[in-house]
Amino acid sequence: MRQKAIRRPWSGTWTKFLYKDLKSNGGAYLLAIPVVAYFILFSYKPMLGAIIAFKDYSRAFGIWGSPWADNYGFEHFLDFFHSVYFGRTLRNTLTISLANIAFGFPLPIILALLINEVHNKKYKRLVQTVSYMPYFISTVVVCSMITLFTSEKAFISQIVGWFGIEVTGNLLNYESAFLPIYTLSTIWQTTGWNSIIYLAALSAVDPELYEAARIDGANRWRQTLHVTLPGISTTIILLLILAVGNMMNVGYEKVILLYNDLNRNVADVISSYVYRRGIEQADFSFGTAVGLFNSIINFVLVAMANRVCRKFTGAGLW
Amino acid sequence: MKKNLVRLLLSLLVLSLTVGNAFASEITYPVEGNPTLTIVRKADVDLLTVGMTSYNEAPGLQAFCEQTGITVDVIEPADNNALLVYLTANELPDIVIMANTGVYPGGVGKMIEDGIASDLTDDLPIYAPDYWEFINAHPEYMSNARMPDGKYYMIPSTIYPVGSPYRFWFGLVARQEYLDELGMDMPRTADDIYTFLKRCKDELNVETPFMSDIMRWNHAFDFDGSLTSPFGLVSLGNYVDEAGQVHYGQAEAEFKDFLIWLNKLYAEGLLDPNFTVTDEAVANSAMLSGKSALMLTAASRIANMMQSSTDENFHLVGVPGLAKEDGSNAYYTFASTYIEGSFCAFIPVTTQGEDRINALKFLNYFYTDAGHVLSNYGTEGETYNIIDGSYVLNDFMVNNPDKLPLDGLLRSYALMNWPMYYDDNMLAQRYGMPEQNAAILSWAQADTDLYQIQNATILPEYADEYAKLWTDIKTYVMEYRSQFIIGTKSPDTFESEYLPTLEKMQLPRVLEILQASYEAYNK
Repeated sequence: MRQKAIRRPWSGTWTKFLYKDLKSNGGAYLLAIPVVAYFILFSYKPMLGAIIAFKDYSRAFGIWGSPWADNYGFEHFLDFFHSVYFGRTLRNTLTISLANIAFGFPLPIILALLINEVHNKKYKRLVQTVSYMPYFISTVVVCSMITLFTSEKAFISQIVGWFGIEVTGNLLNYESAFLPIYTLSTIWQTTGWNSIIYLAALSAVDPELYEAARIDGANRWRQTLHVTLPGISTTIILLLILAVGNMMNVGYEKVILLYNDLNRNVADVISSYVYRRGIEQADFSFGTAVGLFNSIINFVLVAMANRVCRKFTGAGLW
Repeated sequence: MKKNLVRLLLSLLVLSLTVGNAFASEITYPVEGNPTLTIVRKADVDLLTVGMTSYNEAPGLQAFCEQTGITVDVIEPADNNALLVYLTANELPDIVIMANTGVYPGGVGKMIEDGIASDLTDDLPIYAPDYWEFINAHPEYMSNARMPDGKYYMIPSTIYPVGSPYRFWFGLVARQEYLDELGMDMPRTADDIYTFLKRCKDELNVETPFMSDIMRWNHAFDFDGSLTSPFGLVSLGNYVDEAGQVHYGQAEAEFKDFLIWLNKLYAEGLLDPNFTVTDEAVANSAMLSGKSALMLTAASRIANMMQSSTDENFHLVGVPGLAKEDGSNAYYTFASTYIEGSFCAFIPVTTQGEDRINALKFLNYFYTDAGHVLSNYGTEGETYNIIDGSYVLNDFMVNNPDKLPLDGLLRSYALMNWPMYYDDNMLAQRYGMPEQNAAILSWAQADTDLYQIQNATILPEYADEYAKLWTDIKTYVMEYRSQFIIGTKSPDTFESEYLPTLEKMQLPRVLEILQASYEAYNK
């Protein structure tokens, strides 16, 4: 019997297809309008404003009327690359990002797996609530807590003291202590929150697979290894790619709240430098130029991470 | 011949100005037509101390509006950065109130370029005659009120009477009891201070004898010279020497000796080990609880601490700027310039027609007699009384039943942080607590006037370049000095690393710009 030719919905001209689809799925299009409008208004339209990276923006002339910058418009980029602080802010941005990915990325997965194994519902909920809590404390409060806890004779400094390290002044004043303090506090802040998405992914794993594994004689550990992890691997890869894509964006809020004259050498990141130059000195063109530079690097990183992931696991963002 | 012609023209100009004055039209208040203006200014955190969140609620401003007949709507972004963003992202208001230096990057020159400030030269004599008369009668203020090109772009703020000691509101403060207990006289030299701190620590068990909050430290490093005279350094900030040369204190060779001294205090546990992070609440409570004995702070904080202390034996005393062994005065202690300039009024180019005239009339009112009294003292019967012909703040202000602080009340019931000029009599009452007054008088015993730069505005053509270079230099200087004080940078790095790096970051160019600006504004 001849197989009936599958009629592909996208056969025929593009407009014809759209018309047909609109007729049958009009409601869905209607629902999509606000979302599309949101992205056009708040994500695509502002992108045009990035043009001030190539201009000497002045309030009097506005975005379009401001004159072009020197060096064929690349003055602000060159200014950044030649700045005395370019090297150290780039280095610190990458170090902090990598430390956050290396130590901060696996923990939510582990936490989610552990919570998933708990069967007492009340206890499970308690653990979840407690672990989300830090995420809702404002960064300003978290940072003043950190500054207090790390001052001389305060509790974190005392814990460090048990390991035979004498702390004079605030622990934050030590260059070598900044990265651990920053990373550990970020982990404390976000691990619980980030585990939510994994818990959601875990609940989507088919229970029959566990049953089948049990019949085959797999213990809990084996089940985790062969059923749970492969079940959520797509989510893990997706989030990893996104994390790599944010590599150049270390938020300035926490850095600015934690750095001081003594640790700025290891704490100053690109965004905090841009804050000092771009906002405090109102050098908006400079700030935009660096932001644009960051975005381009981030985009390249995402593309690379995506390719690598596709190659090794077959899953990726696109 | 040519010179004579110039002289003739100049005298004609002066003549025409004076004649203009004589015929200046008196403005009648309240003005007609119930006009409304919008004003943008930075939020004033001190208003919170009297339970107000905005100037729109302040009785002083309400009375001012009633008397001028002009209603205002004040928009208050949270801080200087928010103010900048507001001015960039929104329609310009009728009046912008902000500092004339530093806050707007590039200064007044850039504000003119960006349309936030407009030329008021032709309008002032007509629509702000009282201000015009005031400023022309006081040539001391001219270098601040007028741009080098001879034009007027602002109505400046918080003007101190010439010779007023109340410009000296920042300096060293010590615990009086500790001096008494140790049987010590007032410390005058670096060695005296060292002995005082050392004995406080050893004999009285004061934990960290010298503690200030980071904001005051930064203020001292930017502007102050209370501690530096013994080392032969005039000030840590910018100053001008006898020959008219501009210097940056932290790039002078003598700065090294000062750092070595601070390092010694740090190493011996006399200086607060957390000095790079300590905040005001911590520093003040350390002073109150006897954990520290000496601090750098503002005169208003002396009153705050004295009032919040429950200890009868708590007394603070102002320490004059430290001096050399020979008993001379300190070179320099911090003082506001005669025109402090934190709340200058600018009228953007977008304010035109009636709005512009009303804006000028509104600002002019600060310089009328009634406006001057209202902005300094508030409303008669409510906040002050006239006793024997002089204005005396009443108990509601200086001894508030709800313990509200005077500085907050002066902002809300009078108009202290507006483009007004101070009355010395009011300042004497503002710093009315005997300890405060004594502290100010002792801080004022310095030769500051010889070295102070009265107008530090950067010439518009250099503004961008200066801002760019200065941000980077300042960050480096802050890092280096802190590392020097805690000992991670050894003294010989001062010559081998610090000074060459400053040179590489183009400090000489920055000084050149400062010099050119100083000369242009003060010729």
